[in-house]
Amino acid sequence: MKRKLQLGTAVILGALAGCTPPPARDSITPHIVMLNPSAAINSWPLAVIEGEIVIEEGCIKVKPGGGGANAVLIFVPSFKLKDLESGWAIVNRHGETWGKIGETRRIGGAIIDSAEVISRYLTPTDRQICPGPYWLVTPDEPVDLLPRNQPSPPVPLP
Amino acid sequence: MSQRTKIIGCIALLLLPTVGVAGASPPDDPRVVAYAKEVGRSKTEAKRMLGLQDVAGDLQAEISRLMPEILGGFYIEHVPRFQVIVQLTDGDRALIEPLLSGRLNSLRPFLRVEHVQRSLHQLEATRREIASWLNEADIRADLDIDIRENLVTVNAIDPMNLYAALAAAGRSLPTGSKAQAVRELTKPLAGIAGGLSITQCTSGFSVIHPDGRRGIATAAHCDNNQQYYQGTFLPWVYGVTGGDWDVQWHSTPGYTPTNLVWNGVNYVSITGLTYRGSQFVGEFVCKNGRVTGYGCGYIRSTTFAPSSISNPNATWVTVGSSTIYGEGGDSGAPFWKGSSAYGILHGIYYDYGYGEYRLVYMPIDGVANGLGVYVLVSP
Repeated sequence: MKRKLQLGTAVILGALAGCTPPPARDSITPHIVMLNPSAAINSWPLAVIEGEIVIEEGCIKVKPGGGGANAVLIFVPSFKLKDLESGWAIVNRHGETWGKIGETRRIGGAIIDSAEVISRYLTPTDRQICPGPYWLVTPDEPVDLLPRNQPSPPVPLP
Repeated sequence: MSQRTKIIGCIALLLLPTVGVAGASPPDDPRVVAYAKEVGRSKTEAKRMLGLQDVAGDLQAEISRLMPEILGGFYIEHVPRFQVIVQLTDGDRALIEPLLSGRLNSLRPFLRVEHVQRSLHQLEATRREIASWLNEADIRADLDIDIRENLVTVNAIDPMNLYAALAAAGRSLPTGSKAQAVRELTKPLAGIAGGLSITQCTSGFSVIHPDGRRGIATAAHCDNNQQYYQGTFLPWVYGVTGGDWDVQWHSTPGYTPTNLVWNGVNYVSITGLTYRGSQFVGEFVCKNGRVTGYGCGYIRSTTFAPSSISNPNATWVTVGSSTIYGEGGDSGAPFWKGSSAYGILHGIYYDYGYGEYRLVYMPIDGVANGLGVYVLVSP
């Protein structure tokens, strides 16, 4: 509900943008789409995209350098949004900056366009707030690449 | 036949091979024959010069190793006389003399040392800079380093257009480079193989459609319309994802798909396929991805069902070892063993129990039964 209100605020502010000064950069918290914590995941795709990390319609997306539609980025739940003085950043589980808004970088992963996979990987709320297309961000760290919520994981997480 | 006749016959038979060998001269080395004809010298001289060329290669390697910052160029002149020319930005023949010992001493009478302004490193840096400008401004031209002139040459059909396009982008050709007019630019005629870099992914195996069209396979989760190979767009033909598959194929205008895969050092011929039914746990297979390069591991499972595929079947293969790894961009990479194709890379996960990364590939079966094309197993 809180996110819907934030989105509503964003829409109103957007409508008023023509007659009022532009809002400060951090007046709206963008929505970061995470993998559904309960999703069973056991493999990560290995394509790569190079593009600018942007906020569009309140969602964090990648704007591909080679053209094509902007894609909502899907992160592992250990990633977080952080408000730096210089702008929004996405940080990894160690608090290290993975990427900043406005930055261009290479992002491993893949376009996720199967409705069946999307319904498993994302919560209905995330799908509603940030409709696709989606780019699943393949993490770098072994701990983030462990199979999750498998029927019988090989060894529990440390 | 008398006893005497038999003895003479036997002696004659025994002598025949000897006479034959003594009467024949060894066949000429075709390389020597061709070179002798090219430079207008006897085969004996040509053979000696070819030997000196091999020695010259050693000298170049030594100079590159010991004084790369002052090496401007190295080349051989064949006519009117055989000379080995070393170009230096600093110093003279005295710098090279200490290297002319042992085998390299034979080059002494043929060595000429010249002074040039720019080192090969500087020329290469200039070439890279111009290449990036041309790329940014979308200008087509061929770049080369002219060792004799100690310049980077930019070959364009119309140099005036080139200057104008560069000026429009706020650039001009830097010192140490020059534009020259050519009738036509080089056309890509090279082949394309597996294990090479395409925009978002890695090329898998070359494929052929029953109607004769050839192309290159990669993973289907790589973008359909964003794949380029060395600047050439690779049109998407068909792809399939879900269940048993994550594979698509592209045509390769200007490039001929070959039955080769790149292993990071050289090309390996693929002459057969090993279907999933014949792949077994413990087999040692290898891949070459555009980001992480060549790596090998053991098949850990042939019944994996990757979650990143819609409605996945348990028909996928996982590979692990202490060294194999994958990163974004490796998708589509070929997996093979010996000269047999095994599969196309899909993804990765980390296995905590083994403490190793596991790469997940689609067995090679999926190319034919998913795409309706066949992996090329002959040139």
